[in-house]
Amino acid sequence: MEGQWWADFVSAVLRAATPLVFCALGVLVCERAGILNIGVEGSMLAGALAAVLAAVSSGNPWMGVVAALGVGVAAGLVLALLTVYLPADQVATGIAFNLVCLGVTSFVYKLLVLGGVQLMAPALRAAHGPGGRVSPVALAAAVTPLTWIALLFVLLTWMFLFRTGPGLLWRSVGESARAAHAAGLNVFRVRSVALVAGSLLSALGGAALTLGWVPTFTDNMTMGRGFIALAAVYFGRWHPGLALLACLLFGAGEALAFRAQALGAGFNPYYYLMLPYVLTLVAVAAMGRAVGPRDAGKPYARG
Amino acid sequence: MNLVGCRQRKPGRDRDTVPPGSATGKEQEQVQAGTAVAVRMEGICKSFGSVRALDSVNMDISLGEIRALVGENGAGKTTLMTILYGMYRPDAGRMIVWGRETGRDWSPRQAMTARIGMIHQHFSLIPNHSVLENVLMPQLRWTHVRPRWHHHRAVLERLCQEYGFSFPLEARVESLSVGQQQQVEILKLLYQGASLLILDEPTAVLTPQQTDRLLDLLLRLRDQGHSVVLITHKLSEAFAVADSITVLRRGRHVATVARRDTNPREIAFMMVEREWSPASGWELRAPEPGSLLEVRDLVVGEEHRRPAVDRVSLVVRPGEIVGVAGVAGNGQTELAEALVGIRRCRAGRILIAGRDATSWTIAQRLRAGLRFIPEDRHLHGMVGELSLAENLVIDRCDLPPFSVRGVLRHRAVRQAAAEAVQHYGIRAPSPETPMVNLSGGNQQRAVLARALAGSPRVIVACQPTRGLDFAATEYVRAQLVRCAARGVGVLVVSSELEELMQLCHRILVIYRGQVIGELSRHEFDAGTIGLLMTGQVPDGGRYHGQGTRDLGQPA
Repeated sequence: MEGQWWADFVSAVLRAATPLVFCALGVLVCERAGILNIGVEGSMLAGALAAVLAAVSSGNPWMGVVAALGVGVAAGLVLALLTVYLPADQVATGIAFNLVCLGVTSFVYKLLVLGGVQLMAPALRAAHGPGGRVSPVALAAAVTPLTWIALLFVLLTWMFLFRTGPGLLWRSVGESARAAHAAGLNVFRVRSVALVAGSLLSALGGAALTLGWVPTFTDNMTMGRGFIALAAVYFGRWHPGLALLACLLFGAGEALAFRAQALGAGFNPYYYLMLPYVLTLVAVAAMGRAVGPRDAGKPYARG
Repeated sequence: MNLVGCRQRKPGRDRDTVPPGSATGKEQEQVQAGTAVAVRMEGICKSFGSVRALDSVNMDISLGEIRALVGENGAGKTTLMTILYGMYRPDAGRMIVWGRETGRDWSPRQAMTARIGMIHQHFSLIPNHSVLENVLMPQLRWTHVRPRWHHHRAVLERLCQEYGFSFPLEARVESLSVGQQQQVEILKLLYQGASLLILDEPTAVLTPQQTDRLLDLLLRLRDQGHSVVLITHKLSEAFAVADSITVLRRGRHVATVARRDTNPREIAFMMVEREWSPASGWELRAPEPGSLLEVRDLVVGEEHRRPAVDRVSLVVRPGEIVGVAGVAGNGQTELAEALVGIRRCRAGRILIAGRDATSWTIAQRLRAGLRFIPEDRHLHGMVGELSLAENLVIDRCDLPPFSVRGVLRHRAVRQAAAEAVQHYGIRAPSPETPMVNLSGGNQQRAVLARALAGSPRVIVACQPTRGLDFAATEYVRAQLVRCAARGVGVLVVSSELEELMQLCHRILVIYRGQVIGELSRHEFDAGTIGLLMTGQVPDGGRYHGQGTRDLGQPA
């Protein structure tokens, strides 16, 4: 039974970490281009709703993924207009954007489920349930394709940022927008692209939450996962690989919370539900001061 | 003669493979230096709000010449060159680069493609990236997915060797000295194939030795066929290397003259429109005994790190001007900030007029007569959005007569401001003008006016003349000397050796947070101090000139 427990646990960790990984990458690519993507939570929520609605109406979960991508691009364009071209304060805009997304998603969902029946989306399915042993092959079959896409994206993001010429340009915009501009880069365009890419990844995180895990929508169902992703990027020192590890850690907290609750060790269950958030707080506090891209969060205006 | 124009590269194509240093191609050797026009600027106008920064300025830059661009602060030197480099758009006028007129969309990228490179006063390097990444970044295009790192590295190593640059290409720029960072900037331009290099006040942060090396390098580049524009307000540099000198004054072109046809005096006159005699050092009065500011074994810096200030002890007597020399970043800023209370001390003691002030607040130190002229006046010296009048009294606006029972008295503030404006010759439309709208020189006059108001006993002045033209510079220095003559103790932190040698009774040289040398006035020698600034102590230990040992101890 021991092996079975571990296999269940590891696949639960991967499942819980997948949305975090997408969102963390969404935050990371933005910060590397000098944008604090606080709006990650809102993009995630919007992506989650879009995925459920499209999957339900079409009957195909992959249509849900496509819809989430579309919503992500739209969210990115709105954020780019506000924070890059106006430019408004990135933190204030991000918070406002999150609140708007919270309100709009809840409203839209209530409109569509007037009868009060929960919409159940067709979920992306794993090949089969976790087997009795923890082995790469068994795990590969026990998680949804989105998990593998997330891991692939981690690798691609790392290669792009640190191994290619455009990645160097991208990072330069995040480190010093002035130097990048002096070198002839269009800072505004790079940052807009970054926001679109970041929001797209965040929305994909939302889709992974609904289609790959809980195949329905509830108000504020992301419950701060976007912010946990922000913490994961910070904890991972703005490096995709380390951010992945951080996401797995926080995902483990979440998976453990459910399991500990099931064991019922005599505590109030809410203490267990707090676990991932407390873990995040402790991890970030223990991390101390980390220095990210220097121009992250600073609006750029041409002289 | 548009030999170079024909070889202009198309933007966005094959930049990655163009051999660097192509500006030294053979075609250019055939061009007689100083005859072919590389760049022509005609009738350039530029306004910022209501301020006219440039007014129909014309300028020609020839191939293979070093052109010094001189003028007071706010004369428009940097603005003019920033326009040529495409970062600002002119309101009117046209530019012809290598025989082709520039379009409305002239940008830094186009300027670079046309082989114009600029080194800004504040370097545009990315501290967190390596030398290699910094040098390559401007040339990369989005299509260069896999740059040929090895090829670039090999070529760059050759260039480094050729010009005698000694930093590893993998080093993070942050870890290099200021002089090396400047070399990285130059390497960057050369690698881009720039044949017109614009340098904005390049020597402001260098030691005398580094300055000499830079000027030598510029001469060498010129001999290879590059054109150089040297923006400076130091006439000695202009006369050391320039072939010709262009003078701007308040946004207008005054004259362009060949160096051999002119002299510093004439240029200085053109710059300020009045006679100017080079200062020959003031008569400094001998300091009185006693100590106004005393520091004992002061340690400043974060815990568990190498301290920024490491067991520094010093004494400033009444009427004495003590200089702190050092290459930027060796702890002098931290020392000054600890003295005025902006930074906490880790260990050691500070005594103001004999009383232990180590744990005093900034306000307490102010009341005891300690005044501060900060290095970065924008950051620590002023509140830009507030008016000139408010800035002038901001450190004592809670005291009578400016406040009575907690209510601000605007009349008293205005009156004090009017007096300061007159006394210190601050040029401002009105005392209500926001501080940011004043020129650098006038901002510094205001900071000085505030520091000297009331009855100061000790003044800590950091880079008091940084970025000021020589009229304002002379003024600030004269004020400091006058203060000392009244018995005030002055501690001057400056990276300009010439300034310290002119002002000070004594100079302390700080290196990696420690005072490694101390010289009194009759021993001042730029060479010795310059060596000390780079950490080379003649006799191995702390360097004392003759007869200064007794000054290290309080009387």
